[in-house]
Amino acid sequence: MKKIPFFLLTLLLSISAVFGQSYTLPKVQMSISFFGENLTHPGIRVGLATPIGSQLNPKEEVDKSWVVGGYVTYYRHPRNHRALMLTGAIGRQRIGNQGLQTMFNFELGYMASVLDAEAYEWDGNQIIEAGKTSSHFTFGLNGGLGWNFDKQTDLPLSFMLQPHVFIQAPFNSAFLPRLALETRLIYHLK
Amino acid sequence: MKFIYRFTIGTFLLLSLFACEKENNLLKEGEMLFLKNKGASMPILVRGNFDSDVILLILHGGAGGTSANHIEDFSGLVEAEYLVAYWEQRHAGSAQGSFDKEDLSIEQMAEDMQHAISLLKHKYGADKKVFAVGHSWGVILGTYYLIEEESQLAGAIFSNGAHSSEHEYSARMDYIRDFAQEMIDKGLSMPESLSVGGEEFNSLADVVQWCDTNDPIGSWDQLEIQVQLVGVMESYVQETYFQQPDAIGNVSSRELNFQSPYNGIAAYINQLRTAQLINNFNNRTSIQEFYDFTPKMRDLTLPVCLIWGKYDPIVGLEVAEDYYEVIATPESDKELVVLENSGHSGLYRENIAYSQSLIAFVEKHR
Repeated sequence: MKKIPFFLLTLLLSISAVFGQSYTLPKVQMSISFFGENLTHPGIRVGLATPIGSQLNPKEEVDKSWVVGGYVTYYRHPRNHRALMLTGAIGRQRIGNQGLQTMFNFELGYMASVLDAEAYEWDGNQIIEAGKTSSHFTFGLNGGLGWNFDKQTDLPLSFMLQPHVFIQAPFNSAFLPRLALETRLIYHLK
Repeated sequence: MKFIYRFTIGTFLLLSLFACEKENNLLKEGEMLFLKNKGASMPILVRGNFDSDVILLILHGGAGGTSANHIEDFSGLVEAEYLVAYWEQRHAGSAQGSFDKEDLSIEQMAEDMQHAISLLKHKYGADKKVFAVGHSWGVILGTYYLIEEESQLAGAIFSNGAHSSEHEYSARMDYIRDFAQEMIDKGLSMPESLSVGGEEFNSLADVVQWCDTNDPIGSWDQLEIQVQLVGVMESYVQETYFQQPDAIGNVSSRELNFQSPYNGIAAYINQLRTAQLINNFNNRTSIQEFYDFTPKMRDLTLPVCLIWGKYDPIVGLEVAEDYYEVIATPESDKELVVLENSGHSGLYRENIAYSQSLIAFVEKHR
């Protein structure tokens, strides 16, 4: 048996009995992530995704599938803005026979941006407090590389490192590309 | 499984790399305010001495630059004395919002500046004395504000920015001609041949001759050549006359990009877009060329301090001398301070001398 960290071993012992020993395709993938906008602006992201049109090669046990999903993402750039994004995604996922998992997604949706400090405006006579929230359209691409523990250990989890590039529009007179790094834990429901 | 370990350790190291070296604590020190106006949400980071009765409003360069770069210039001597308000102009730096490109104009920015001053007085006290501190484009904007808006300022400190393109081009032409001649006198030669705008420059004599036959500048074609030539001379001048920077502050690009309220990508995109809309030299749409504020400046009586790098290839010392002469400010209320070993960015390169001159002027007029 390969070496497994203690916390994963605990999860393995508690879950593997429920989910059995043989690999089957998941019906739903639940995920929770640390979402680092610009790497250092902390956030959290949760989502549900489901594989569609899966092709499981029984001989090589390579799972290739299209995946559709929905995500809620929140992050904070201190003293700049907070953002809440509601997005839908479609992408391609591949899980190798040893567990190496890769994915590539296109995502689009709504972004609410809230200024992260006091905001003021001139009302024609004096300075008054101003609203902080603005609405934006967002879309982007992300790719993931990680490990599917399900393949070799029956642990229904994947760990992924997933860089994002996404667009916030409108932004001033045009749009703004943003970068993020998502560290993602996926739980497979079967 | 080794792959997972490497992933985890790699991620941890990557994140920890950006977690260190918070030199200025830009995320906690001071206060952040946002000014909203005509679709723009403009950050104003207020730092320094909150007990002071003086607020310095920073007018950054560009158009489309950022005030973040000036934190290094003012976080030393100046912030110890006064409140410093680092205002990001619309569509510049980390400014956010959503507005039509027609709302990106110097008229709109002057209105923004007026509201920024009102906001600072609203927040910190109507009796506070606000001084504008402009650099480069910030001088154009500040001067436009002074001649077009009802000033709420107690004074202005301007460095290396223009008020009249005619004087700017004239000073630049003298810079090229004088240093080309100086290089000839020293037996130096043209560093490399230059071909621009259909003109060939194979020797320094060609440069001097072009200056003699193209003064004054009156067209974009001439301007394009002049800008290329000044770049050639600038290298020589820097090697010969500049000194090492003595800035007291220290703001690393890593801190600005990863541990601050600022957004490096937004600053880059804002700069590109602003350049495209109102500052495009190649497309000849720059609002910084072919203008003249001189007639209306003759009515200015505000205390003004001009602190100028002597060897500025972009906006030469002659521009400051003309500014000093044109305004109606009494002699006792205006100053021209020359930084002897600097070019365009004397406030950084000779930061101590710049800061001391600024403080002396503010103390006199507060």
